[in-house]
Amino acid sequence: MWIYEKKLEYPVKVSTCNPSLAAMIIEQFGGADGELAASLRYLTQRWAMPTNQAKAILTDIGTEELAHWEMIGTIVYQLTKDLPESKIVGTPFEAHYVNHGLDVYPHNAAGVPFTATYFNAKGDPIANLHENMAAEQKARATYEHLISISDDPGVIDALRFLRQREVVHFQRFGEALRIVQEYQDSKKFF
Amino acid sequence: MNMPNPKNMPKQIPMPMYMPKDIKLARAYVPNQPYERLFPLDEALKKGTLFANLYQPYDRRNQ
Ligand SMILES: [Fe+2]
Repeated sequence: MWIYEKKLEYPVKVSTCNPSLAAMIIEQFGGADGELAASLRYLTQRWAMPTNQAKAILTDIGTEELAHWEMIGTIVYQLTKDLPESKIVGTPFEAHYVNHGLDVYPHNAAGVPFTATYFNAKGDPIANLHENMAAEQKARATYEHLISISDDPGVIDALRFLRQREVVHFQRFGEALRIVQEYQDSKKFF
Repeated sequence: MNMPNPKNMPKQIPMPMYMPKDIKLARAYVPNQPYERLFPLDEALKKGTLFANLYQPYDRRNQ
């Protein structure tokens, strides 16, 4: 069960209209290494984790990724919400606009719609946790690319926060990996 | 490897094991995180972590 809090995990203060930047940041809304893929990956894998601690880590991080997905959607919306059509024509956001208007829709920066094939649940907790650690590194790298192409201070501030969370998550999955390795090792002696 | 300095650990907390005693080949390990040096809460929110030892900001100029 989940409880919804009607606020963002971290405040998003976007000061400009920038459809081109919105079209790039949507990568983290519906892309392979984005927040939705992260959330569904961890929330899907958690049932078969062999220890309660590992399950709890996946539940906590999967939940937080949903809050990040909400932040990314807010950034994309705020970058586009006040735009007249004339300001969208000729920008990379135009292709999004003809299909979705100003709705935020999960596709990547190239327009490819979200798919569950971006993640896996392998039936093997060690393999799953390695996928998760790789996912955190790929998300961190994506945020660094996005920070490099952003010029809105409010957007950069939110992206920096989200990037730091990926660093923390990598550490937590590393700890979960240790927990599962030690659990599996201890079982071999019984 | 750059291991945390045990001298910085609060005295009442026993020295934790950052890495397993028997490290096996073909396995990945991330050191356990020592519980130390917490940011004040308002600063922690801004930085994206409560833990000074996990704070690794991105330097845009390093591209
Ligand atoms: Fe993450």
